[in-house]
Amino acid sequence: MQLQHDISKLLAQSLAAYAAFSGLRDLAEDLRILSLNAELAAARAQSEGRAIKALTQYTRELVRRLSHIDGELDSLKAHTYTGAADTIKWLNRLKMIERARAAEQGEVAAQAASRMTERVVERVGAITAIVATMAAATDRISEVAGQASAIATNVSVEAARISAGGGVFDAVARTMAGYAQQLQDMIAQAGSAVRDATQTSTRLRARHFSRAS
Amino acid sequence: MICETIYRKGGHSWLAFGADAGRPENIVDTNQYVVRYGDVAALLDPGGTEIFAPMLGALTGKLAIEQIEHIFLSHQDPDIGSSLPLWRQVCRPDVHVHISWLWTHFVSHFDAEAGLIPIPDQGGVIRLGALELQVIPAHFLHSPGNFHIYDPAARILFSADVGASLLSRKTNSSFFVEDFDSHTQYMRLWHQRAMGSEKARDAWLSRVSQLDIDILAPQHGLLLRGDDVKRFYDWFRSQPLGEVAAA
Repeated sequence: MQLQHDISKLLAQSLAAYAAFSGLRDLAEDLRILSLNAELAAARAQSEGRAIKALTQYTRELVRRLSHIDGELDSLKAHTYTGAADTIKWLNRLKMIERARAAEQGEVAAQAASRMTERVVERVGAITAIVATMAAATDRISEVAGQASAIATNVSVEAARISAGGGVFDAVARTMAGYAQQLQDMIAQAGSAVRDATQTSTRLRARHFSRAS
Repeated sequence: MICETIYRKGGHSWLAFGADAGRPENIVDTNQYVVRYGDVAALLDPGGTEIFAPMLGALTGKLAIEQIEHIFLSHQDPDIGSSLPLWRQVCRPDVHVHISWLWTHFVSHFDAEAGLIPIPDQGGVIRLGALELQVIPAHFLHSPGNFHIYDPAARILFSADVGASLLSRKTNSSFFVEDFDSHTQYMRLWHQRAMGSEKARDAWLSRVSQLDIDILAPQHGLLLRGDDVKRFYDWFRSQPLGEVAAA
């Protein structure tokens, strides 16, 4: 059944977006530890490290935002699975009713199929809304990645100004730039999955539910 | 799916549905029954999900589906009522679904919105207009929460898995048993294995032998009528139950 195939595709693409962010929690933790170590090094550098200390505090704010988004993604993922299971249940029932349409003498199966299609439409709509929320979360992660990259650049500039022990901050800047790049890679992968899911959702609604919706 | 009217008097009739030729080989054949009285009807053991389509097709060729006021499930097995959520999509919204109290929370896994009506252990009555269908206890035959339906006006006992026979497609050419002695070979394994309690069997025999029964209508295989009903009682009484050949 084409409808079932299209919905399976939508679910697979939604789940691919979550999979892209599967390393987000570990990355946030790595970033947090990096900022703590950098802060300790900044304290040792005394007045020369003042600017870097401020940057590490800002980094921990980014970590807090990433952790919050990671929690939201967990919740969205759970809702996607719940919505998927409910959709599959109604699709299976709809499939059986569709089989009965050919056999029945009358219109009861056709009427039931119409009602059940509306229920499937509602559930596909809910999954589509989750995909939209997922796209917004991806945008927020992208902002964090941009800011992390800017902090890495600033740490690198500050490291060049410090007379003794600047090598430590150079290493911090390189590591942070690497984390920012990992975030960008996740965003690219998830963004692609989210775009695919959005397109699939649009096509699915146009193809199957144009009258019902 | 074949439909045969096994009883008719005025507006009162029994329809038997079964022997579905399109059924996949790996799905056990089932009989479904509709009791009709005037413009109301009861569907007895509506069957599994896989036979819903041919059953709906056959049924709607015989009566308007709005007439079905009651759905009765003899017990909890999937071949009895896994189609319930589908029937509830096509039947009137206030259709009553009856099953043993023991299974209401279990069968709700098929359809949580069904609003199942629990049947107490002692049974009861399902009313179709002026007709009273008696709900007869048949616990442990084979399910621990099991009921049969007796129609005193039609003198038919819907006996669910009691009297059931497992026939191949080739042997299943008629709705009624023609040669009882030969037919026992198709009932033996099922009764010895699936019916776990001789005490329950004896209690059931004691109860139903007091009823006037012209047709014993099981959920699988051929129906028994006339003297074959008494022959079945004698045969069933003689069977060792709860037997497993090689445990």
